[in-house]
Amino acid sequence: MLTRVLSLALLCVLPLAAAAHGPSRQKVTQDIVIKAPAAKVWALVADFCAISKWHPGVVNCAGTGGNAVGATRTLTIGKEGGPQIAEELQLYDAAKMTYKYKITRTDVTVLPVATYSAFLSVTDNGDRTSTASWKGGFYRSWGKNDPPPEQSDAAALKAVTGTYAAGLANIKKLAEQ
Amino acid sequence: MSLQARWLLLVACVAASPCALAESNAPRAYVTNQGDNTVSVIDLLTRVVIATIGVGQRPAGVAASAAAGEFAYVSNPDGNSLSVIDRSTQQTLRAIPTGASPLGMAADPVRPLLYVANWYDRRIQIVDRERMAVTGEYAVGNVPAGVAVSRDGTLLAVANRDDNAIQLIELATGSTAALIEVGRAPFGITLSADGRQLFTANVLSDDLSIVDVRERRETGRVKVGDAPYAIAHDARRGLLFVTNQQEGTVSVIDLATATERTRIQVGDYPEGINYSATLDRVYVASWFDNALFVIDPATLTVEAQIATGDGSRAFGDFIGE
Repeated sequence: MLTRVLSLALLCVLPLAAAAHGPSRQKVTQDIVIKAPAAKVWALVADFCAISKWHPGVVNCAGTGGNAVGATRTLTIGKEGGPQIAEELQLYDAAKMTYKYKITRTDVTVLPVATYSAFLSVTDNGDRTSTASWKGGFYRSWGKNDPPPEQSDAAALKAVTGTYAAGLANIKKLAEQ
Repeated sequence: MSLQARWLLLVACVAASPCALAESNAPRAYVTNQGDNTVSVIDLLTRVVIATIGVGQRPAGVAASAAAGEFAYVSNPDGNSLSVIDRSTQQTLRAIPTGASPLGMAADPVRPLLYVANWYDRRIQIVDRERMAVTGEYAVGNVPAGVAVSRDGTLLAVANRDDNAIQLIELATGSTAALIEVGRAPFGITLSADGRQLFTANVLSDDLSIVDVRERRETGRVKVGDAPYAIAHDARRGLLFVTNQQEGTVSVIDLATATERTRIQVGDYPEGINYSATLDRVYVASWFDNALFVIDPATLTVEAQIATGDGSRAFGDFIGE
């Protein structure tokens, strides 16, 4: 029954997400060098739903499916009862210390994007330092011409850039402790 | 010329007959870079970027095959214009104003015309390449994406993405000859070399539709990867190469059996894909990795990677040969 409800919910979300994209996709790539071994950094972020432990903007994460492809997580942003974002794991490679996920439902007041997917990766720099990278591709949430400022390309870029910067800075802080 | 390029030239000369391929008229790729508003012009024989050209805002679509003639055309969805590139000087000659968000384009191989899909306007605009102006339009369905013209100039095929359908327009009369249902959200559209089949990449149903042009119906559907975008046809081997945007791969489809043979890992967000018959290679633009990947269709492996500008799309016929 739950599966059926979820499938129905997904069916409702998907056509909307598909309609909501104009021709111009945006990208954000951010890296941070961390003075800690890659394994230690990966251990912090490896669990898909650990994001509430390392991202200062995420106060809660409710997950299903662990780290298997198709696993989901619902993030609560800012404060308990705040806006929610639902995401799904698309690829997971522990050996390469990387995973890819997509947003299945966003809240445009905090993340005005559509058709969003992103990679979170850790690479070993070989000198007891490592690099954490977050890179995402997405459209603005406004699918038609002439978006309002809060749903423009600039607004989408600003929200994603801010999300990545805050998250990576805190991963570094936690790993270097 | 590098040793590898010489070897390639040799291969190309063996493959192409008569052997008249000189470096100066080697196939060139015109790769639109949406992030930095440029086009990378790449000599595909030497695999060197020979020019980086400034164009309009957020360039995406391209029409640069021989059918486009002495110029290459780029669509600028955010600038509502086309950029006209002079192939002899590798410079932007001028911009042609269009309707809202021009994206997919195809050059008419018979008439000096270019067909430009307007993403938001349910129409294909007709650009007169001699007058360099929009001179007419065809009404089409919802969200026209990819566009293709048959080699004999009789048919225009349009992927109406939000109708899940292909629209065939008879160019002699301008009338709609057929609406053909395909998978969900057809985006890229490619005609077979002999013009008998059409292929669409269906973004939301993760499959590829095979359409018989004469019978005007879908004859096959093949599952591919996540969010297929565009298709290249290697007629020599009977293979289709499909970019799977959301998983960084290219699906290889055996046309005779309508089955997937393998998937090749390329850069992230692979988008535009073309086959060069002259060089017998498949070229794939990677939006995230800012590169053009070269696939050898004989071995089905990535042979090289050429750095381009930011956010390469190359949606359309981007190879001039």
